[in-house]
Amino acid sequence: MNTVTIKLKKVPDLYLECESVTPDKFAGKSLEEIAALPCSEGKRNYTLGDWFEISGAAGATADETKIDVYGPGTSKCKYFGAWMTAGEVVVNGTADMFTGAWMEGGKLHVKGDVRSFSGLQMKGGEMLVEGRAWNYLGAAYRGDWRGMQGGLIRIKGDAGSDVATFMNGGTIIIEGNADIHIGTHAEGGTIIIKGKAHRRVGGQMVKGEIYVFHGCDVMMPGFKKVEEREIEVDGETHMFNVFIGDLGERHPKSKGEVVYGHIYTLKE
Amino acid sequence: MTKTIKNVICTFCGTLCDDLEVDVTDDEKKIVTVRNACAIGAEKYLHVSNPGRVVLPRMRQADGTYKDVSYDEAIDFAAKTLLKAKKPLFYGWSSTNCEAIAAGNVLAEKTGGVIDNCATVCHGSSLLAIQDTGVPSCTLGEVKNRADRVIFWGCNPAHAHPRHMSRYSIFPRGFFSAKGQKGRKIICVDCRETDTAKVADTFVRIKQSYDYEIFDALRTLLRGEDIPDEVGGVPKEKLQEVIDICKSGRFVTLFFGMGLTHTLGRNHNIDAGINFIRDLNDYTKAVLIAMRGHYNVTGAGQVLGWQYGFPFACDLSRLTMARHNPGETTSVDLLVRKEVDACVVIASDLAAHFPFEATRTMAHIPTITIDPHISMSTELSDLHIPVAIVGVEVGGCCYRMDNVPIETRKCIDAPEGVLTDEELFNRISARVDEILAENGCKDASEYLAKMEA
Amino acid sequence: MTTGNPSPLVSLFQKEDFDDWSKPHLVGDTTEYSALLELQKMQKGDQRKYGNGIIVSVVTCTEIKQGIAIETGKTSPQYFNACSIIELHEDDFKALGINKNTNVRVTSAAGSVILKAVVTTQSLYPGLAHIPMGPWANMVVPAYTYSTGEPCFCGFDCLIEPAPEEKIENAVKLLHEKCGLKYVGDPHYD
Repeated sequence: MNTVTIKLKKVPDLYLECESVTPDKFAGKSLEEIAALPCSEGKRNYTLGDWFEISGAAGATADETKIDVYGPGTSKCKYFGAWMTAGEVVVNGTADMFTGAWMEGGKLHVKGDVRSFSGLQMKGGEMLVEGRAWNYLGAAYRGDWRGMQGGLIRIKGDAGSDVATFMNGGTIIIEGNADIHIGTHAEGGTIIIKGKAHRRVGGQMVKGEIYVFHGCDVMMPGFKKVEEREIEVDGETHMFNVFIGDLGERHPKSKGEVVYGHIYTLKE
Repeated sequence: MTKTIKNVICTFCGTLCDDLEVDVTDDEKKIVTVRNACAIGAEKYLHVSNPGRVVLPRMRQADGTYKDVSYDEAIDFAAKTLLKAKKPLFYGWSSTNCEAIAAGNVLAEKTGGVIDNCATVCHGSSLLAIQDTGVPSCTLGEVKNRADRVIFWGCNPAHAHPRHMSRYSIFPRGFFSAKGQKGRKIICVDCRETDTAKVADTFVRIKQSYDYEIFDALRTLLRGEDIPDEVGGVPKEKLQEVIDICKSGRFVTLFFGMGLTHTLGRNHNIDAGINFIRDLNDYTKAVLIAMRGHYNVTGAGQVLGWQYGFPFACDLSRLTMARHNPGETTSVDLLVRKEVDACVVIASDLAAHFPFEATRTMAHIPTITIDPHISMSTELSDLHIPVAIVGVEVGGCCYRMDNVPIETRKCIDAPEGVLTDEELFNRISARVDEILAENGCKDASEYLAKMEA
Repeated sequence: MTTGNPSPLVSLFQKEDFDDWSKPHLVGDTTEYSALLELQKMQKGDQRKYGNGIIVSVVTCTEIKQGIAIETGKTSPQYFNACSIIELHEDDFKALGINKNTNVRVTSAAGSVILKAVVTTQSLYPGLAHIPMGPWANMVVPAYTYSTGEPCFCGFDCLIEPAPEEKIENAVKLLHEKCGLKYVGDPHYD
């Protein structure tokens, strides 16, 4: 694995759009070519070399390329790792919006928080965030009804609202708490919240699995408890209350049986 | 003596009443009286001819006072400010005509800005929901002539759209609604028993922030499933009553407002409402209409929509591409996150109606406010440019809340020398072109790069 | 921010210094959001009393007098009277131990403002209050948008405390001072 290290020269006044910072864009390029890649701040167009000190060497393919990003100021950079298909990106700090959005493969590791719209419509790969995630994590882009398709997102801290809106597949694990609107309009996929969710879990859900270990402050009226079951989730086995729903929404049939979404809460 | 101008279009709220009568002096310079307007419309038309009207641009000085400057000076300042900024914000647009909005959009595109209108703090949630899930709707005329079940959810037309109930939604006798109010059942759903609720046949008081849960409960009941005994402070029986009233009607209309767009869940509340109305169409005809607040916020969305594909929060800073992402390209977020470095407030009052944290950013970046009157925004700006009042001193196209375009009328002349919004934007655009040409730059991004070199 | 005894929530409103980028940083809505959560935690169940005040949920919307006053003029006495009020339920007046039409201090996760407490015309329930939209309301409306663009205009918690000796500020003056700008008096137009 060849590593390119990029370090911000100064904190942006506004916000930098850094779609060029992916293993795919760096692979097979010399340091001069990498420095010539575009980035922008508002309507002002720059190159990566204008903003970052760049050292190391890229691999021949994305798969063999790792990018180490240093700040201070990474919290004002958007689109790190967006659209990446392979390789590794490590952000040593907080990353702004669209981090890992539309990711198809590889590993993205953020040591601080990620701001809203991160992991949007992910298709594959792994995203690990040591801090918190803001809103619309792993959700669909505005106007699209197809959300996250695959891959794994793990957040060590809390998450905000609109987690996995329109989810179709993949897994999101939040080790802290989440706010409102978890898995709204979900048609598949798995969400695991090891803390508590505030409200509106599984609203308008058609299909999918949502685990909220410590329950929610207000349960959606369209969900009905049907049984208790022992299930293994992310390496831990517990007894869960099983709810089906959203009964206010349409549901498809498979092999003559209606397919519902599920919410699981710990039997405490 | 006076002249009477009939069928004047009132330019205050989204109801866009088209039956006002305005008496003006013979020289067409002053308004004497107005008939058929509500209290707010009347105040607007009668206030126009009060003394103390701002007729020249005002520039803020270092000592905090304002000094009158010429339009030429103001236009030059505006052009230079917008060219110098990396990401200017153009906010407002909701109280001016479509022609001005189109001219303003040209300027915003040339200077690589973000165009956002009042929907961003009003019915933006509704527009997001409509993008996600569609909208079964109709015109206000259809409501007047056909609706026999009207639901007001989280809105208070008695205060915000005073003539709405008498012209369209409760009282009028229409083609298939000859009995007027007696032939209609009115339901009001709100956390407060508003003046609108007092006119309704059925009032459902809900606990604040439980709209989404209640729509879910209604949809669950509609599908024949059971719900808890009480949802959001409303007993199950009451919710069943609402469903029975709706199903028994021929034409259900849901009007909704800030009680859905501003409360917890924002766009999801309207999304749930739209899906409830869609489900009702399995039993009877049902539609919904958003109670748009300003008289041309709908038009601002229409013009922006047909020019760039998005109804609000449109980011043109890439110069050749339009992007839309509420939460990122919306005015409040841009200001709070300090993502813009200049601001044009046009036909709106940002400083009075945005949360203070956003207003504080606006006060600290170069700001130009374009408004006929003094407002909170004009007093925090570097430059205030007065313009003619649409619907009074200049006509132009505006869109009603139900997306019907209506041509507004001119009643009197604007004060001597005062430009219209459209003229002003055209002149600022021309000045921008001049400056770019003087510096041999093909676009604003190249100009910025040249200035920074 | 306050004269006299500071509200117990003041410590939550210390915004981090946005210009010092060497410190780990929270931008924009985040500090406010955690203060919002703190306020929600304080208001558990029926425990609405806090210190010498009560915690209520606030909605801010349009009101006919405010609508008319917009057209009269933003610096007019009518606008001042229409917008610098907070409407409370009768029970909340009793809980606060104050008379109607006296001033109160309203503090939220976003800030603090003095308003006149009046009886509502639109029928609230105990624990729900209404402030007509305008610059006074926006001193306390949290700018947090849940990444939708829309701030928390309707449904945010506030601490209401009696403040009979404090005066309601003129809006232009209030905005200037809070923005750190020089206020030289209201404009002499309109």
